Amino acid sequence: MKSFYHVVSVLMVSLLLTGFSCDKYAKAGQLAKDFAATVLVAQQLEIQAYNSGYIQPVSHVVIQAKFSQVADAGVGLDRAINQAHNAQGAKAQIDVAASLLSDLSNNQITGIKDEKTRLAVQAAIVSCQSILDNIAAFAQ
Amino acid sequence: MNASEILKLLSLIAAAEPAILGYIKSLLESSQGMTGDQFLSEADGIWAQVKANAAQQLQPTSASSAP
Repeated sequence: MKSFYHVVSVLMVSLLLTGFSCDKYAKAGQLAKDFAATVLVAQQLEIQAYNSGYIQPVSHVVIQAKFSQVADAGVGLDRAINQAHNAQGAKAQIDVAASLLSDLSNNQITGIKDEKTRLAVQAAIVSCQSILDNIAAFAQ
Repeated sequence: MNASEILKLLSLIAAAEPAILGYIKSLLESSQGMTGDQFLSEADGIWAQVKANAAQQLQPTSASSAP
């Protein structure tokens, strides 16, 4: 049941991502922060599921390694936004993060045998992708 | 969904996890006139947390001690 609350929370945040600032730099920064926060929630969901015995150690290690790579890409995204003071100079970093999330969603989490857990983790990752899509759209 | 249903849903979420509370708190704070630098600074802090979590989970003792 806790997984349900996690997923609902993540999805709610995605839906609430409207951006409150008219300042392009502030809005890009806000989206970047929300992206980071959503990835953190997805990671915590996976860790909780692993600690509860729903994910095999081999899959867990692979998924966490991927989360670490997403974090590196996220830091690169933040730097690009900071340097350009908007999201327009961050396309390369957005693409890297999108590729990592796609790999997580399409390949890595398929190793999770428990279907409910796999769907919950996938929903969280989809939320991350949705926010990243918002950043990409904002960068157009 | 009416207001009471939204409040009920929020209370359910609030009871779920401290991390979720922090997440919602950060979301609410994000509407309070922060600058781009402040947002990015917070984002970097969150990424550091993701990295630290991953590093902890990737330690051999951590991965092998779980069920």
